[in-house]
Amino acid sequence: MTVFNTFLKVIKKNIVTIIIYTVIVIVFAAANMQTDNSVTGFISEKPAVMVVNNDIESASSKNFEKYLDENTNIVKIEGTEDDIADALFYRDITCIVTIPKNFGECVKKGIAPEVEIKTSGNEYAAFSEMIISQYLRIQNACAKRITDENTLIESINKSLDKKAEVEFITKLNTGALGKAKTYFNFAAYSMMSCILFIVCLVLSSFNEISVRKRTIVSSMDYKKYSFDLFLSGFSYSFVVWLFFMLLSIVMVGESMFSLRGLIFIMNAFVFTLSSLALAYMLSCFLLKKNAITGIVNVLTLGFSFLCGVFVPEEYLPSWVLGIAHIMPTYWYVQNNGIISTNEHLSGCINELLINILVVIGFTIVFAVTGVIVSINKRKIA
Amino acid sequence: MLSVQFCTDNFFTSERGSNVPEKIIEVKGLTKEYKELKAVDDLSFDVYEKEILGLLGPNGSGKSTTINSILSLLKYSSGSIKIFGKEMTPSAYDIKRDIGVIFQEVAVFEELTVYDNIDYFCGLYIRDKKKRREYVEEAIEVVGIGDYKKFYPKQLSGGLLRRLNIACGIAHKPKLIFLDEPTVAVDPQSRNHILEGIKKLRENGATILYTTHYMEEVEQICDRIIIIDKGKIIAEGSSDSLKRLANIEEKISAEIHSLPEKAVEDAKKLKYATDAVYDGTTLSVSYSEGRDNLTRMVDFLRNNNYHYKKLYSERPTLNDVFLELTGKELRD
Repeated sequence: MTVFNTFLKVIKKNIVTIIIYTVIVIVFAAANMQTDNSVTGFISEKPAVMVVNNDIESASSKNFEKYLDENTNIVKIEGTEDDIADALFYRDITCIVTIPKNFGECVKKGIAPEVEIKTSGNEYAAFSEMIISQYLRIQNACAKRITDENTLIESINKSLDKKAEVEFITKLNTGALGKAKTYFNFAAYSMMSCILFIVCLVLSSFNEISVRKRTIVSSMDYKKYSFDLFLSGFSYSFVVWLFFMLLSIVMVGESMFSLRGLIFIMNAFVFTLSSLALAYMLSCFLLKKNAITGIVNVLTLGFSFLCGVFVPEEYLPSWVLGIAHIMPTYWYVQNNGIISTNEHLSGCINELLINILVVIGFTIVFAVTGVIVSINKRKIA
Repeated sequence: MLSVQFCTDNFFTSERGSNVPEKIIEVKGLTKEYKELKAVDDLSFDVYEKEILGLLGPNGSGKSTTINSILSLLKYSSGSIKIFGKEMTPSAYDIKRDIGVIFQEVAVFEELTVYDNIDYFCGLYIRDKKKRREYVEEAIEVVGIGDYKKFYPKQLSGGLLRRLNIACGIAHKPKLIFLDEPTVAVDPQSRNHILEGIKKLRENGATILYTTHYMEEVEQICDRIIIIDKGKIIAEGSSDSLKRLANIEEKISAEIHSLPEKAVEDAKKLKYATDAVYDGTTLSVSYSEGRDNLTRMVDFLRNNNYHYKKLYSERPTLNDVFLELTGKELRD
């Protein structure tokens, strides 16, 4: 109990740091959780399109332009060809549709007119192309069997009027799970900071060369002493984990009392163990207390930014995600994503388990490295 | 080659009667090698019950290596070490229970108060909380830091910090105490307090192995002294017997601003003078015996018009012994 009590006393001296990291997670997670993450339907967007109509007299071209006006946002750009090219380059418009002079004639003859489409190349341009080609496809199909222009236009419009009812069906409470994902991702930063900073700081006091020498020459069995030290670190980490899990109930709500909530909690527990093992390993290398703050900040912030804690991984370049694979945080965040978005957990249970096993693997590597370094250091104490 | 000088008078038989006390530490043929360097070279000595043995030597002479080897903090190359009659090993916890160690470096937790620090280190030996509380209070009293119980180490002066360091090492009432240069960088007041405390510990029955390079301390508190250099024992005995090895009865020093070389040679020719040295400010003349050496020195200086500021006579010191045996100063 002597070692345990002293461990607690040293922690008590650093309580302000723990509070700071806890406040960080509450503030940041709360701010991010304000966003409604629920996916309950969709709305169609109107891409910006510029239309150059060289056949303003024909009814067919007028009908096409009217269709574009209804389904896209037609933008008029005054100026030279360069100004128009700039508008396309700077994504002010997604594409330029040029209706040829013989558009009406071709339609009457049942020939597909050559409509020129210049696009900006992004996903909105693809959407514009889809809208345009839908009209032209129907027009071409109708033109092959109808020769009268008015009847043809009537037929095209009738075909386009057909709307499909879209219903978004999901049993997932995407809003609450999105919040849970945000919370648990942010908790990774705070839990890791609280554990790394405090455990490294406390262990550096115990591992300080003169203190360790005095411990080795004492009558306390060194194995028991090491076990007491480990137990103290584990107890502290467990309390940190428990606190953040209780906080998750406050922040996320009753969704935590579900299978998915339980998996979130288990995932966080395994991550806590890896943070403890990392802290144990680091403390074997770090002897100077001044270095601990810097190194812990670099590690926790680095892990968080590279692994998608602060910035969603969709926005991270592939090489960054490649590097993130060598950090436990990445696999933890991956699991948070799987738990919150997959309709059927049974279908991705293997993926979840593999990610958890990878985090356990990191824990073992950190712990074994720490033990080897510690034994070597004892020999040369 | 240096030969070990053993002094003829036996401290124990002469001052404590004929009963030979129990050997607390027995070191035989201790050798510690670092690649090609022999830090400790075939060292053999015993420490007896309730004595204060001083291990004296310059920095790098092998004092700390010897202590670390005895405590099993270092693997030694050859030799044997017994404490309380049993072989000392890293897992000899029954032996360690009765050992207290005060290292050269202050070994305390910055985050704990004075009281909590002593309580922690005492707790490594004593589990019973009530008993421990008594022991901690006693240790605080012995080193005289009762007014600073709730202070943190950062708030203490260097001297008080050293006292705390000692309290942490003795709180569990060990029978054998190792003190490795405990007064380094300590103010005179704290030093006296520490030395008095060490004497008190011996009075209470502890055996003490004290290493230092301060000869005055060794002279002040040690019953027996071992002088080591380059990992070897070069002399062993009580302070007085060791001083006889120096072949000096008296040393007279005169502070003189400038002195020609001839004067030093002339001083060597004074009656009973064995040596004369001038270091730029002080002329020191050693005498093997004789009376009126001071008068003759004054006459010598006056007759030759050498103006001196101060003139004083000294008894030989352990430094002179070391100089005699090794040809170099203890603090080199």
